[in-house]
Parts: sequence; structure tokens; C-alpha cells
Amino acid sequence: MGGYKKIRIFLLTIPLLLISVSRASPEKAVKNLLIELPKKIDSWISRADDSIFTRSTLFNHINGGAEPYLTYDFREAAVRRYSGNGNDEILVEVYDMGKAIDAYGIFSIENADEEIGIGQGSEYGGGLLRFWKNSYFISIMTTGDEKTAAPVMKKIAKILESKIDSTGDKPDSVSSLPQLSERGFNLKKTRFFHQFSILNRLYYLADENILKLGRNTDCLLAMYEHGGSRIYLLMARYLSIKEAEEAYALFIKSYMPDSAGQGKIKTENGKWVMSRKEGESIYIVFDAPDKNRGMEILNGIKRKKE
Amino acid sequence: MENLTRRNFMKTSAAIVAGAHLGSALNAETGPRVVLIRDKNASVEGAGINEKTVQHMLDEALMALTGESTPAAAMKRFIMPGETVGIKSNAWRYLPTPRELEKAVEKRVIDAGVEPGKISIADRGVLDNPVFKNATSIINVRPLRTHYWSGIGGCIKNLIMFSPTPSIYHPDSCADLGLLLKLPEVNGRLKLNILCSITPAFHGRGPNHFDRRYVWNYNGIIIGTDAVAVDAVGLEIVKAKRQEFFGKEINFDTIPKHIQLADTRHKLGVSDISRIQLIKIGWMENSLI
Repeated sequence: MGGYKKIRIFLLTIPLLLISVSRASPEKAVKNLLIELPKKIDSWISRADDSIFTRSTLFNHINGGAEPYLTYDFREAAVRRYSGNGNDEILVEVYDMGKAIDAYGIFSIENADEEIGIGQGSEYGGGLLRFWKNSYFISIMTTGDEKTAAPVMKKIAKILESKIDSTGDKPDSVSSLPQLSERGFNLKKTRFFHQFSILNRLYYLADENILKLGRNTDCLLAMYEHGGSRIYLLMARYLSIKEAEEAYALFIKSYMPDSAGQGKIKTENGKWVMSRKEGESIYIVFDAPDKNRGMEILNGIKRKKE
Repeated sequence: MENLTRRNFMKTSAAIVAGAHLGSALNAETGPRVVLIRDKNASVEGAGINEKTVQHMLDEALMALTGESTPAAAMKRFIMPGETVGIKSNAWRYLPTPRELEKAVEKRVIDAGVEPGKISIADRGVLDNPVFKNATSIINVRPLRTHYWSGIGGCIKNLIMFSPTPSIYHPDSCADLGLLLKLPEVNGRLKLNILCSITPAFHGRGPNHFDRRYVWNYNGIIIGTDAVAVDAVGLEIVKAKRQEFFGKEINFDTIPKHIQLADTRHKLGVSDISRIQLIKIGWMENSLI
């Protein structure tokens, strides 16, 4: 191979390498993000070294609580403790979730309190502040007097937010959700995840994985309220059409064998389940109070522009 | 085994509701005995836990559970003189087993004829603890709270430290946590389960989080020999409190199915509340069960 050709291949490879690096890891390692946070903030001081936890050691930090994180592309967490008055403590945890959709995901399955305008999504309540930005999920918690700690916790959150230079995208499926507020459907929650264990936490479906969900499936569970009813829409996207077909067949066989292949059935609680498969995706509406409202949601899913 | 789906539950729930009254009449007499004792003076917000009241509650509960007329005699139904006893506590920093309750249990174990040097109160490290290693009996005592990955942290969950590999119990939201009762360190040695419900936590968010908004002075202690039944009673109280507080049924972080599965899948106790002989003593205002 001539020298010119080698140089050309090398130059062509550089952008590809840069793209793969930027997709595979966040802009800063979690420990470096924490290093940029002062060790003393107001009267709160961190004296110990930061702790680092990986996929294989996260159990040492949060025991069984590590399981949900491991269903995502979690890479590493850095933890720092600040001491205040007496035994009061602020615990800062920075999680590298591998990619922005997974940082959004872990935040989305947990979030319960009021948005406070930090990062790309945040909440504060009961001495717990959490937000996500790009591929980072950050949790800041106090064990002491919440009123004293809250301003410092918010300060810490804002410093960390400012050290994360770029933002990341939410999952594509979020933009495909039916927007039916003018029809009285209020979208209350969206939860993004990959695995069946998380679906069962959010909406118990079955003992066994009857949707063949796994690390490579992208799922969005949306909850709508309409006239006092809660209606759920599950959108699951698989790696291939074949995988989606197999999963859909198993779901129909396991959950609604009595639907006579129609993908619609009134269940034992008097509510409707309806489903359809489209390309690599499966869409299922649960708990629709009647057939029409269920179909409105199912038909309201926006098709992705090619 | 048949795959249990949401629809299966819908089908059976109507039958359960219809049969609950009948089941209660037929089975509660023969089911495991669980005592719930409450005293409104056990704890007062901002003033901590009343040691004397807690001792009195434990004593009354032990006597009600066994039918004995003194606390020492009641404890002797579980612990014999000369034994080595491990009191499996819980050291979670935000809501540990109250020291007052640990002391009350220890006192009655000594009264039963156990030398103080043969008693250990511990949580982490029980597998390496010399007293626990030689223990002929274990008393399991911990607070009632919701738990991020098992739904409820109760007496079953408290046995996790007897496993050298706790993470093997994590899959499927700790579904098979009940198998802890079969561990050689536990099986045959676990004599008594005490679920401290003085200040239970009925809701939480995320791992390691403790939210003071969701703790209340229930001022109760639940006690029994069947860990599954004791946890089932605790779960009912937490569910009722969530309903009362939030005004509607809200999902647990994780469905606490390990209690039911310890019964239905592993046959290690009774989780059906209608089959539990629940004895309620003391202050029962807003007992939620």
C-alpha cells in the first residue's frame, strides 16, 4: 500500500473514531465531574476521598437498588459525602448511564416530585434532588435537616449541571407519543426502559417475560388520564422485524389468546386491552375504559418520518 | 407452573373477595398466630422512643403469642437456658432497629436463662460473628419500611445477611427472597420474628433514600413465629397507610411479591391475611388493619 493511500485511510478513520468515542462514553468520566465540584460549599465540607462504583461493584453502594441501574447501560458512579452540622450529611451521586436515553430512562422510572428546572429534567422533594443531563443521572440527598441542606443541594446541582457541556436526546419514541390533550387525554407520565423487570415494576404484566424484552429493546410506557381513568400505552421497539413478530406472537398467546387474532379484548376488570405490531415495534394499550378511547390512543401514535 | 399474568390475578381476585369471609371463618383459627400490639406512648414525634413502654409492649406481645403468664416464661417457649442466641437486628442508618427494642429483647433472652456473653446483637457481618456462628437460636428484629427493590423491607428481607451472596436473591424484584428461610444458618434456628412498626416508612423513592414525609408514629410491634405471616400483616398496614395518605392506591417502587411467593411458591409460611390468626392488643385507634 502506498504512503498516500495509508494517510488517506488514516484521515478517513479519524471522524469515525471520534463518532464512536462520543457515542460510547460521556464527555467526562464521573470522577472528573466530581473533581470539578468544590470540596467546601458554604459550611458543608467533604473530607473523604470520592468513591467509585462500577457495574460489578454498584451492589456495594446500593445493594439490591443496583438492579434497575444495571438494566440500563450504566457504566460507573462516583459518590461524595459532605458533612454539615452534627451528623447531617449530603450525599452526591453521579451516574454515567452510558447514553442520554438511559440517563433519561433511569430518571423517568424514578421521578415523582416537582420539576425544579435543572438539567434536562429534574425533581426535588423530601430531601432528594435528582436530575439528568446528557448521559449523566445525578442524585443529591440529605440525611439531615432538609431546610438547611436544600439550598446547598441546589447549589451543588447547578454547579454539576454547568460542568456538563452538552445535552443529549430523549428516546425517539417520546416524539411518537399520541398528543391528544384536545381530546381530553392528559399525558401524565412517560417511563423509558429496556427490560421486563422494569415493566413489571411500573405495570405488572406477568410472571414471565411474555414480551421477550431484553437489553436491546427500547420501551416507553406512557400513562394518560381521561375522565378519571388511567390508560397505559406501551411502545416496545425491537432490533428486527423478526424479533418483534416473535414477541408479538408470544404476547397474544400468553395474554390474550381469547382475542381471536384481533388484538383487542375486554378483560376481566371490564377494561380493554388492544395491540398491534408495526415493523420492529409493538404497541399495546392497557386499561382503556372503552374500545373507542383505546383505539384513539393506538391510532394516535405518530409514525416516524423516514 | 402456569405463567401468572395480570389477567390471571383479575380472574382470581373476584373469587378471593367472595371467599375471604368464608376463608377467614374456616382458617384463621388454625393459621399462624401473629400479635399486633400498639401503645400511643411508644414514641412521640420529636421526643424519641419510650424505653419502658417498648419493654412493656414486647412483654405483652410475647405473653399473648404464647399464652404464658410471664414474659420470661413466654421467652422460654422459644429460647432454652444455656443456648447461644443471635439477635439479628437492622442497622440501616436512617431507620435502624431501635436500641430500646434491641435491649428489651436482650433482657428477656437473659431472663430465659441465656448468659449475656452468649448473646450478640448484629446486622452486617453475622456470617463472621462468632456468636451467630454458634447460635442455636436466632431472633429476627427489624423495622417495617418500604424497600426500593423488594417492595417491603420486613423480617424475610432482614435475613439477607445470612447469605454469602445476597445478589443472587435480587432477580425479578427479589421474588424468591423467601428462600432465605431455608438457609442452613436460618432454617431450624429462627425462633421469633419481631417487626418494629413504631415509626414505619410507608413510601420512599430510589435506593438508600429516606423521606421523613413518609414516616408516621404508628407505635406498633408485630410479632410471630412465621416470618411470612408477620410480613404479610406489616404489608397490609403499609398498604392501608399509603391509601390513606395519598387518597388512592399508588404503586410500590417494586411490587412486594416475595411475601406471597414465599407462601405460594415455596410453602414457607402463610401470606393470606384471612388465614392468619391476628391478635390485636392495646391502643387500636386508626390501626389500619
